[in-house]
Formats: sequence, structure tokens, C-alpha cells
Amino acid sequence: MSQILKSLIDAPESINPALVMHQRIASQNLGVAELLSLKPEIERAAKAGQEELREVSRAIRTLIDCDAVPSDVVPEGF
Amino acid sequence: MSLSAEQAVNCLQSLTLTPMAAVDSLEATLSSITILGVFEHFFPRDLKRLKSLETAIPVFLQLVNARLFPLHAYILYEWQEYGVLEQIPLSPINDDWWELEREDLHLFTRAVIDGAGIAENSDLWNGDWPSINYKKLAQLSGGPLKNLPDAVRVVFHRTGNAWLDAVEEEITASYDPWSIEACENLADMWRHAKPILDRSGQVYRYVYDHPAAALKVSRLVASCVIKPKKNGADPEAATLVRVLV
Repeated sequence: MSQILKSLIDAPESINPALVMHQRIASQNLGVAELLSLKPEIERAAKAGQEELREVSRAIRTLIDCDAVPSDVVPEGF
Repeated sequence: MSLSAEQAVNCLQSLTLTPMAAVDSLEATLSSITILGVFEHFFPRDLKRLKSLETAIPVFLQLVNARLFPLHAYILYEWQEYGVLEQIPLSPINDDWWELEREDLHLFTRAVIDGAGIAENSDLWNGDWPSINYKKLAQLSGGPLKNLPDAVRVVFHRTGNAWLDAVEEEITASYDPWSIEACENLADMWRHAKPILDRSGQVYRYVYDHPAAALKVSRLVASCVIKPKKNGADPEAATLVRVLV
């Protein structure tokens, strides 16, 4: 297995923090007071979510821009 | 943990969101929270009485309109269409008469612009208005027309009060986000605008009820038009208030 593939498999699973916060809000029937008190957390989640989105976009752009390299391994079926 | 059907549906819908849509949704929620903070500051008892969070924004807008400053009816009833969550939907209350046909204007407005020599669709019609000597106009106006200077200032959007001087086209570019301070400023300016409106309203009504007075208005305004000096700056040109807050 290539090093790159191993790194990808070993990478920790994570969900965009904005999605996590969105699910949290959607799953609860929050009142006004609760929503007001959640403001700092929502701000943090939105910011972190936005940053992660930028990171992912950068990674995708880098992958798209990579030169094609022939694989050392012939995939099964070929 | 038990969920209601509605909560379960909301939860499942949130799972199908893209991260970008989640960020957008959180930003919309933050805008709502900002408005709730303003709501809590100005109308705490009404906020406590609120039965559902979904009704918070329309109720808040109705309260703002009733107790702080005016909002157009289309904002109150179709607020979702107008980006109300992000910015205060300023609603200038003075007519931009130059956007209308002359025949559709109030008789008083027509009398004033006739007196100022503003012909329909001329350069003057489109905003290059002559200056008026308001001091002289005040000296010449009396009786039912004693508030004529105020009313003429309203026509030309030169009252010094942003609610009356703002032009629809200009303020759409200067909307401010919701905040307690911005709302206090707007409410304060609105308090000062009301007496001007009352005084000018008396003149508008008088001319409407006594059409013969329109000619007198035209003559009074004509006698107070300041002839522009050659190469001279318009003394009033800089007084138009462009930004409300």
C-alpha cells in the first residue's frame, strides 16, 4: 500500500464543525434564551466550518493541479 | 433520548446538508440571534410572551414599526424577500417625486417645482435643483402657509433630517446591520422628523383643500429661488444627507 493511501486511511475521521452545530440546533427545540446563550459557540462553529471549507478547497485544488503519475500496482481486473 | 417526528425530520434534513450550506445556515442563525438581542433590549416583555421562535422576526418588525421607526408595509409582510436578517431595512418616507410622472404628483409638490422652474424631464427635474432662500421664504409666508419653508424643504429633501432627506436609490447602498445603537439612532432621528412632517403636512393638506393656494405657493417659491452665480458652487448642494446612520 502506498504511503499516501496509508496516510489517508489513518487520518482521523472528522465532520465539519458547522455541520455538527447545525445538527445540534436542528435536533433540539431551542428557546430564545438558549439560542442567545449559544451565540459564541455558533460563531466559533461557523468560523471553524468556514476555515475547514477553505482547507478542503485548497486540497482539492492541489490534487487537481497534480501531474498524473502511473501507478506501481495494476488494479485488479485490468 | 426520544425525538418528535418534527425533530427527527429536521435532524435527517441536516444530515443531507453540505458543509457550505451548514455554514450559510449558521450565519443566518447568527443574524437571527443578533436581532433577538435587539428585540430583548427594546421589547423584553414582548419577547417573553413570544410563543414560537418562528414568529420572532415578524413580531419584532411590527414592534419596531409601531414603537421605534417606520418600516414599509412590504418589509413587514414580505420580510423574507428583503434580506431583513442581515441589515436594517430602512424605509425613507419622503417621496422621490422625480421618479414619478408630473401628473401623478401632489398638487403642492407640483406648485413648488413649478415655482422653482423645474420642467419635467429637464436636467433640473433630475436633481440639479435651484437653491431656495428659506429665510426669505419664511418672511413671506404667513397664515395657513406659515410652515411653507418646512414643506418646501421636504419637497427638496433638504430638511437636515435623514428620514426625510434620504433618497431610496442612495440608502439601499448604506443599510446598516442590526444593533441596539443603530436602532436608537434611527428612532431618535425619527422623533425629530415627526414634527417637521406634521408642519409640512398642514401645508400639503391646505393646498389640497384650497387648490387656488397652489398658485400663491408657486409665486412665493419663485420669488425665493437663488439665481446660481457663474462658476459658483451651489450653497445647498452639500447638505443632502446620504447616509442615515
